[in-house]
Amino acid sequence: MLTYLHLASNHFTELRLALCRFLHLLYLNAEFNARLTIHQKVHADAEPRYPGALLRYLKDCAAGETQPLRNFRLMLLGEPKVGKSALVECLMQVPGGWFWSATRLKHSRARTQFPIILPYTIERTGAAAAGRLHALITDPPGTRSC
Amino acid sequence: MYTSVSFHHVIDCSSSTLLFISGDAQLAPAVQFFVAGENTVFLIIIKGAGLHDVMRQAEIEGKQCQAQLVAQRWLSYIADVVRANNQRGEALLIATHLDEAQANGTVDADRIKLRELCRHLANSYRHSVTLQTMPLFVDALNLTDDRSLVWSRIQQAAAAMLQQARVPKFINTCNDWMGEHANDPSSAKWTTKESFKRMPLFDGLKASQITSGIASLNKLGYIIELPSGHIILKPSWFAAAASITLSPPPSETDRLTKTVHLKTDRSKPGYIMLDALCSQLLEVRDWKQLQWSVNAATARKEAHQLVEFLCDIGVVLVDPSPAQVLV
Repeated sequence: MLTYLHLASNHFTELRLALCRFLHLLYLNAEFNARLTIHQKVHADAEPRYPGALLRYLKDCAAGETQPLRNFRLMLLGEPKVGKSALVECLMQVPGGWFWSATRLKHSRARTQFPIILPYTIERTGAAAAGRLHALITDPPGTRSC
Repeated sequence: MYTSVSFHHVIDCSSSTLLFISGDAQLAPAVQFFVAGENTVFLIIIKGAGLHDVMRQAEIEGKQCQAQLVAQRWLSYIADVVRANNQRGEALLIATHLDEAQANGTVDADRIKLRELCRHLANSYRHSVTLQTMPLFVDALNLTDDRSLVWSRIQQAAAAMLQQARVPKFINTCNDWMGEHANDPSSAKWTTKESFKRMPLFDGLKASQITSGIASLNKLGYIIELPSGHIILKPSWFAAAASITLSPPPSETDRLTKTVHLKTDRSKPGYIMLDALCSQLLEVRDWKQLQWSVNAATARKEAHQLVEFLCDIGVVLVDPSPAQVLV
């Protein structure tokens, strides 16, 4: 009968919700798993202050629905005036907009002075809305050296 | 309250040493603050047109060309960020100005050098960064084939990085909600953590799930949690404000760029009184990301609050003594 599970100081990236099937499991310690997915890590790290927090959270998650993670960050890095902002502008043109009649953006644009942070849902032929990837595009000013 | 405030200029991304590069907005002080994040696909952009010639010339001179240096520096930086934040990341090398290379008849030679460079970089950083071995050579303005090609490679990289990771549904719901919030010009720019927890995106969630939702939003970059406990709901707004530097008057190379030039104490450049700083910030109307309220009193309160936030992340330093401040 498994009542105590010590997974601390490992390299887990995710704790499977199947752990909740151990009906007699009372204590789960997953501290110091630096690569653990953030929504679990925040509870794993809080375990000393809130005993049982991680297990309770996993049980709450197991009772609900899970989905593939759809969100990622897209970051453009490079020298000034190599076309980062133009590329962002190009990537963010929404299908069905004016650009279907155009094939190329205009050339001139102002230099980017501060990080531009823009959410964008990637269209994919035949993909249901729930299956589409969401990119948070970050376009910082160009950097000659870093 | 403050007697005066000053601007903390630029942080070198790779070594965290302080630099003072007056008015160079290409090294905005907040860049480093906004470039870390979990699950990131990094696009390293270099100019592809003429790459063959510049690499050959650099080889003759026994040096590395600028494009290679920049790519290497960013890959080193990415390696550091990925390691320090225990995050997942993929990198893709993209060369631009394909149209220029076509016009000059250098496409084939440039493409060969680009592949050579990418192989070299992927090999050099193979232990620390996943750089895709096949680079792209595109026209960044091309809305048809090149746009599709870039998105296709980004999605491949994202899929490889996410590796079919699954999350509770509410995590995706929270991310989607904040994405829509960021796109709504009338929505709040910041709030307190307690107020944030009561916002509609968390309706029906337990306290533990809200904690997870906030942590996830913060790590993915949809919000910024400040040390003071405030939550920035529109990172782009904050990034704009935090990036205002003591820029010189517009130069010829700025052309279309509407630069912001904050005037500080003539005898002590970098020093400014709080009210003067707020007034100057309020005068910045060309940056749509700043979005000041129409009501003057509300706008001034917003400016004061913004300066508090900038103090919170160390972009603005408050004079610890009642007299003057030190940069």
